[in-house]
Amino acid sequence: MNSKEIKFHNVMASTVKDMNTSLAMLLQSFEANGALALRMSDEHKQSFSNMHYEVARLQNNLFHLHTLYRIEYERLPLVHDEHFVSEFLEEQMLSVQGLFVLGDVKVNINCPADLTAYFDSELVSSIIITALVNASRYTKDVVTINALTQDDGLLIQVDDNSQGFPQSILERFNQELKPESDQINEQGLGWLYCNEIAKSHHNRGRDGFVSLSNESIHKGSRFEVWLP
Amino acid sequence: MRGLKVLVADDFENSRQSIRKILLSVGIDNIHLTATGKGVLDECKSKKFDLILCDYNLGHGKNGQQVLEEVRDLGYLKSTALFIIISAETSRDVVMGIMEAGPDDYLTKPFTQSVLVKRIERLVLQNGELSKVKIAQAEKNYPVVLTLCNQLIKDGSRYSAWCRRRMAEAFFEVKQYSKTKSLCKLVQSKRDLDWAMVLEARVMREEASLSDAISHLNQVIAQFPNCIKAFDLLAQYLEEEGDSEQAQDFLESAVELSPRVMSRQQSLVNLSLANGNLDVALKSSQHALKLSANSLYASADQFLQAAQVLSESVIGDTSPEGRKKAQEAFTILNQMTKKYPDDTSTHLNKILIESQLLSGQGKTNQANLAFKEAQSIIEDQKELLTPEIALEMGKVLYARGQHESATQMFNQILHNDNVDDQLIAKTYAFLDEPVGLSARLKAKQDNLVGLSFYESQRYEDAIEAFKKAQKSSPIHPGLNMNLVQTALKLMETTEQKQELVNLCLDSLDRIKHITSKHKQYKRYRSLKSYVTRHFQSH
Repeated sequence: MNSKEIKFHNVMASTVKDMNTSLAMLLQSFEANGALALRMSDEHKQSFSNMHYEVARLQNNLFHLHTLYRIEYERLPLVHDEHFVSEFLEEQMLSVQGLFVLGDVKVNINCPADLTAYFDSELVSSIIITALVNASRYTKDVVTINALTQDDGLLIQVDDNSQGFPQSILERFNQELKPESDQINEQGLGWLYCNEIAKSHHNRGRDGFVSLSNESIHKGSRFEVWLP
Repeated sequence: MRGLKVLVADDFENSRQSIRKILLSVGIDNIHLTATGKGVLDECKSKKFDLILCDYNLGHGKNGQQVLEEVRDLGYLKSTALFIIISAETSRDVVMGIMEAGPDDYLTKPFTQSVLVKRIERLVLQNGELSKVKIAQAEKNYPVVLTLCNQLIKDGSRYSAWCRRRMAEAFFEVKQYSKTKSLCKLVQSKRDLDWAMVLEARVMREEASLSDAISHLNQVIAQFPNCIKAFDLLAQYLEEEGDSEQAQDFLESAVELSPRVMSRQQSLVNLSLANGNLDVALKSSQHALKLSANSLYASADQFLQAAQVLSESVIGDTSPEGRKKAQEAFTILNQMTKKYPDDTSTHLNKILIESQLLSGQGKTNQANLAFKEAQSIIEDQKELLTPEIALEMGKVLYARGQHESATQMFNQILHNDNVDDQLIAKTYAFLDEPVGLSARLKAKQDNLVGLSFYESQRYEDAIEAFKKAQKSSPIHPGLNMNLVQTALKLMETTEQKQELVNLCLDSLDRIKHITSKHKQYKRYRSLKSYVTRHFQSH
């Protein structure tokens, strides 16, 4: 790196650190005030919920942006460890629980208690959070997370009972997954990020992937991630 | 969980209070707070905590990674204590450093209250089931670790995978290598695991197939490019095999991957000095010195090392840049004296370096004074003349132009069977190139030019380039032997010129310091005998 790049690199590191600290305080206040919000009028409740949703999105996007930067410029350290999948999913759910409580959405997790898998928990967390934040926005009243072993790998599905993904999103997502595609659409960038992260998980010649469909058990949209 | 004794460390009052509130909300009320790394050490010294929640950033002093390493090493933690590092930092250096320190858990900001509580609940639960194993591990009682883990696996514990890893490691410790291997194979039936592959490589080395171990570690790195342990071991094994150049490459990669570990930086200084790579040594010695600022493992060594490398890099360099570096070395040495005022051997080392620097700057009187003081210290306490000091003493003599006494001093090191290989290599590295950094780099550059001419069979041009390099670094073995070899090559196709013969004789004469322990001894011996056979009689 030259000195200009080093300067930018340091600014990047300290700015992200600072923003993460601010977001931590914000998210903790949303959580702490959750009970209070439940007693608010519907109008206030809705606006509280919107604020929380946008903060969650900010956090998510900041993480995506920074991760992509790290992949590009500093060989992102993947930390592959063995995790209990049920604990991992429960934690993801807890971290965005506030978004579901206010909307009166029921969240189910179906996962064998002792199921384990190898992955980078922080990165896969950002995938699941993206799916959950999105589901919290569009679902009517239920979200189900399924986790199971498939093809010697781990499959996680997030199903909701929304209207389903619009055809245009599905088409764009599948279009841009093709290796020859070089156009970038603003919409659906989050999903492509998720796919990149899944792809960075390898085992014995196989890579992870993400897929979007409307095959939800609740007749809404389904988000799937498979990790080898 | 309610009965836990907890320490919360964070330099921000807000963060401390927010974590305290979270803990209180689940009924944990035995909470102690501190804002600094020193605070954690003090608290842990006087109290036995069950759980420590420590932020990576702790103001200007030690960071969370250093604190964890130190409380462990000092024995301030009970073996079942849980240490969680919390961090808003995400840069690779920091994450790698934290991972290397190996906390029980690592939580990145931002996180919510319920996530923190859940994590603590799980760790406490896990600790309940595994505490006996952890205690046995801390006591290095491997047979008990094996029995306990075996039982847990039989009972269908959900921590079976954790147990298998501890068992594989325990088998290795008690030298049951075939069991280590079969367990590693078992856990890798469906995927390769970095820790298991590293363990396999260690077994290979113990079973005396160093080259297999090295190729296995190369595979680990290809698959797990962040497996720092594999880089470290690879460097170590390659050095054992005698390939210190490649060892240095891997150690440099390890340092790039995780630069915040002082001991690794220091190893790199030593290895690069042994390889004669002053530029690398310069960088890593500065880095190590910086890291020592808040470290428990800081000693006069980091100061001496940094000053030594600086002084070696300015030999013969009277440019403003060189003077600046020399000044820097003096400053470092003075800082050291303030911090470590009383140790005689440190003082001796210091004045020897000062004497070299002063000679280099032409301040002969002051250099003499320092040298005389060093001599009288050694006369009083002969045991202080260790091989390391002998090397510095030799450099001082060399700087004063007393080349013969210098040679005698160096020979004491080279002909002493109790001196380790690295010090011998360091001594040769100085003898090969007793010139400063900029001269070395210039010589290296010209040497490369010469080599590329040689490749394209432009031998006369190659000779000119090597001669130019020789001006910067007159007695460098590789360089002088390149010159000999090129001259011989040229004489194969052209007539034998006396000029070329003289060039060969002169080059070989320059490097007669090479003896049997030198890395290039074989090449030197064969060139020398060839030249003697063919031309000496003329």
